[in-house]
Amino acid sequence: MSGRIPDWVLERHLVGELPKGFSEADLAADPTVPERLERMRTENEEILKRHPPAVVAANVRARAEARNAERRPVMVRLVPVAIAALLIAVVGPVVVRQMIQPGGPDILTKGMEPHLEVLSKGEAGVVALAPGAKARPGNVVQLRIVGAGAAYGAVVAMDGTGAAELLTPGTLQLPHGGSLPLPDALELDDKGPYERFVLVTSDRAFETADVLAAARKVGADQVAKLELPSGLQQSSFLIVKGP
Amino acid sequence: MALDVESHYRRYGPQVLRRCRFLLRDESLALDAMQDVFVELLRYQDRLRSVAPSSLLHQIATHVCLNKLRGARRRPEDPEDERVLQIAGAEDVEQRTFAQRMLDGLFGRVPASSRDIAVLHFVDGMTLEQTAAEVGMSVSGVRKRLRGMAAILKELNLETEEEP
Repeated sequence: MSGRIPDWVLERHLVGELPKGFSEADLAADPTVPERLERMRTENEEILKRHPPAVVAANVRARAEARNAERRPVMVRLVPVAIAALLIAVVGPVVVRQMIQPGGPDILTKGMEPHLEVLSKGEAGVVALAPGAKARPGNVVQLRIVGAGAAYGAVVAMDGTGAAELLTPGTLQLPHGGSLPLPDALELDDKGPYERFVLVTSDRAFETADVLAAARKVGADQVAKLELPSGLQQSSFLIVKGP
Repeated sequence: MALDVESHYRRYGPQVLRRCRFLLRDESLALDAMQDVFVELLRYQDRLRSVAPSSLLHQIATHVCLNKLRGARRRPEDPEDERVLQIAGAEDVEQRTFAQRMLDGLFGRVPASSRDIAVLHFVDGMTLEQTAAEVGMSVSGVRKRLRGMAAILKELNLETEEEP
C-alpha cells in the first residue's frame, strides 16, 4: 500500500476499526496522516461539544418513535422516562399512558400556516381546544404539530411564572402533510396562571437553544412574540388554567 | 438488547457528521441527515453483529445523504455552504468538484443501489474488493453494477479497475 490514505480509512482507524487490507505501517508511510488525524480529533471534540451526545440521542429516539407511531396509528405507549423527566419540570406529572390516539387522519394543509392543535380528553371524549380555552390542573392534553409545509419544528412551553422548557428533544422533522403528535401527552399542573405553547418552525433545522433562550427572555408575558433568528416562524397557543 | 444511541453517537457521530457534510455541503441538512443515520442504525442494528459499526454507518450515511440530495439537489452556492466546506476539512477542492460532477451524472439515471456503489468506488476511492465488502456483495456483482453504468461513466471519463 502506498500513496495517500483515504479519509474513510482514517475515520475507521480513529475508532479502532482499521479495515482489512490496511496496516499501521501503511498509515505511517503516508506523511499527511498525523496532521489529518489531529485535525479529525480536534473536530471530534468540537462536534461533541456543539452537539452533545445526550441531546442528539434524545432527538434520535424521538424521531424513531415518531416514525414508529406513523407506522402504528393506534397504539397505547409508555412515556419514555427521559422525556418524562423533561416534562415534569414544565407541566407536572406526565401521564404514564398516552390517552389520546396519536396521528389521526391527515388533513389538507395547503395554504395554512404552521400551528399547534391541542386535544383534551374529557368526559365527552377527545375534543380540540380553541386558543385561549380554559382547562383545569390535572387535565390531560395532547399537542399536535401541523407543519403546513414547514420541514422542522420545535415546541416550547411557558407557564406564566417565567419558566420555559422545551417539549421536543431538539428539532423534529415534520411530515410533508398532516400533523405530528408530540411523543407524550401532558398533564397540566397548577403552577402559573396559564400554559403557553409556542411552535417554532423553519424550512431548515435550527438550534433549539435559541428558541429556549427567547422563551425565557419573554418571561411571564403571555402575548409577546419570541425574538427568534431570521428564517424561523412561530405560532402560539394559550391555555388559561382555572378551577 | 436496545442499541445505546448515546454511546454510539459519542464514538461515531463526528465521523458520520463529516460524511454528511462532505456529501450534502449544507450544515443544517448534514445535522438532520446525521440524526436520520442513527435512526436508521436503530432499524438495522442487527447488522452490527457482522459488520463493524464505522463501516455500517458509512454505508447508511452515504445512502441517507444521497437520498436527500436526490430530493434537494443542493449545491454549494452560498457563503455559508462554503464555510461549511472549509469546516469539513476536505482541503482537496478537486475531490469535491469531482464528487459533485459524479453525483450530477448519476442522479435519476441509475438505481439507488448502483449509485451508492459508484460513490464508494469513485468518490471514496475504495477498490472493487473494498466496495464489495462495504455493501455485502461479491466483487463480480459490484463490477457488474458498474458495467451497467458504462455509458454514464464514460461520459464522466471514469473507468473501473481492470479485470485481474
